[in-house]
Amino acid sequence: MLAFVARRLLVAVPLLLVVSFVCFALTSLLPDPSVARLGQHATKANIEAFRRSKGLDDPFLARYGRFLAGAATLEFGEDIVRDDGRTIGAGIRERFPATFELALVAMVVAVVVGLAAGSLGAAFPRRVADAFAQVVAVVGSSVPVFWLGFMASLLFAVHLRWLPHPDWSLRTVAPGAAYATRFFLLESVARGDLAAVGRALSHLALPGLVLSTIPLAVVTRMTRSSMLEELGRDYVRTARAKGVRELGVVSRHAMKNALMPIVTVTGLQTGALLGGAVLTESVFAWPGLGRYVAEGVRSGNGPLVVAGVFTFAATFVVVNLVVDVVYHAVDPRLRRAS
Amino acid sequence: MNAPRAVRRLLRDPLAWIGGTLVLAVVAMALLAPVLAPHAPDRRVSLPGAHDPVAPDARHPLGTDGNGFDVLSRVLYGARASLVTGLFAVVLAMLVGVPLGAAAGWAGGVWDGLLMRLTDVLLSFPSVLLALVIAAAVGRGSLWTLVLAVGIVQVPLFLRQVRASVMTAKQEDWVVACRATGLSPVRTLLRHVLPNCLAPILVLATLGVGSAILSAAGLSWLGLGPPATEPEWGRMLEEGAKYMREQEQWVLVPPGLAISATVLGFNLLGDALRAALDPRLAR
Repeated sequence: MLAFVARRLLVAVPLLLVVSFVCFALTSLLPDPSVARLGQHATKANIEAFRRSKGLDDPFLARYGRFLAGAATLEFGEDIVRDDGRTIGAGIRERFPATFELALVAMVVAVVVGLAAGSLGAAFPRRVADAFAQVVAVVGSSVPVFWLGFMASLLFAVHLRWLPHPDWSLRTVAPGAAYATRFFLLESVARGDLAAVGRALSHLALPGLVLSTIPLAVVTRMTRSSMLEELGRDYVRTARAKGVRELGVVSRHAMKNALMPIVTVTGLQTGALLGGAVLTESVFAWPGLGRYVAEGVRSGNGPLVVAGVFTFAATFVVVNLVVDVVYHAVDPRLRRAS
Repeated sequence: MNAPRAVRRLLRDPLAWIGGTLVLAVVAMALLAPVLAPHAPDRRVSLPGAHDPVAPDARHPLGTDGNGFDVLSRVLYGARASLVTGLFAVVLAMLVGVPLGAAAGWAGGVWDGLLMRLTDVLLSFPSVLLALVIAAAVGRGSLWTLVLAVGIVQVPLFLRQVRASVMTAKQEDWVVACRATGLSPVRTLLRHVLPNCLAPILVLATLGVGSAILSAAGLSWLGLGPPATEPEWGRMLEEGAKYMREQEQWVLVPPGLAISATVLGFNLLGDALRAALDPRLAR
């Protein structure tokens, strides 16, 4: 087990280093942040003085070294475009929890619905339920999330008034309480404050459901094909022969064996999910990292964009690492192999 | 791959027909836009100054938008932008990904390892974000920005697929036979191995057009696409979003439906192609 973790880390750490390098190399392609700070009409001398004072003209490797140091401490240096005396990292840390909980809810919805729909389709292939699940999955993956977000909030928040317009802040989730973190949902759960959990979920519902359409199609499909394969195996026939009911065969016998490719695909879908978060957050004015990056792009804040993208990529790499390790710990077949 | 049989299977698949119809409809919209559109897509038809969306009427079947443009005409012309972006992005991804993937799969060794690590790196970025940064780096303002951003993001997908297909084909007896008859390796690869890898490339390309259109619409919606005067669906949604909480919410509907229908068409067609070309998968 330890050897496996060590081996995976040995791949992940260099990967993160290269990712950081690519991220940083992209900064040099982005528009000059000093123009964004000083405005279009700044004189050449002003821009040069500003660039010198912020170290923007230092050699490439020196700047990359500073970026790496910034990434290691999660500070990423001061935000020279906003210039409000705070570091870029402070802004990222403030917004990361909102994105994390949104992505978490979306992923849980996608996995639960996808597992159920996919298994149902595999248990009764080529029936109405199977066809329906497949059609919903392909339609869901064809609709742009940002448009789906508009339509869903028009329907559920404006016309039907079933859900509130998402407003993610402590004021709406737990008025008057003092939370230690900005993980409003998780901290409400930890405090056992059910009313706050309910309020948090009601605000997460719209963006979470909308975002879940991105991984849903892939999870449903993978579940269906992986489950179909398992259902054709001998042990499944044995289980049926000894009188286990079909529901039990699918959920207890086949599911465990079918789970491996599903878990892997789910981990990989986190990337698409995090990318979709950029669009979803912008629709719902969600105070997360995705919207922060999108705003950074609009305002020409190159260093912020690169730091945000690196945070996203690093999260993706770490999620896949954790998925791998957890799966290895849980699956006895893999545990023996390593 | 047995071409006639695959075509027959494709023609029997109802989903292929739905997908094909949707795609053809969008192509028809793009080609016939000048004939079908009641107005020029970039001429303000309502009075200048007071540009609030005007509700649908006889003159403007889908109303006008906040810039005073006729929505129906813009939706029709927008098909051009979407198809151009989707097709060229995939062509770009194939032009880079297919040769590199073939070389990696055929040559193996250090070259292969290096390319695989490189795709690992590219694939560890959420694709929308990578496209976002590339688009921001290229600078704003045109469809080609979107083509480049979305195309580069798809390169690793083609590279991996072609590499895997070539590596599988390399093991087969007929490839050994080609080599044994004295055919040069490059000729074997180009004339015999690559044509045999066409099926998965075709599937990936069809699905790729759909996802390219989807990503491009997202980037354009974030403001990285062509200027607001150009008829482009993602950009139309960005304009429409201003009216989100007001009476004119309906301006959001047509462009979104158009994007969804187009992407759905390519997705259905791609899935049907995959099933037709590889019957083992279509259980």
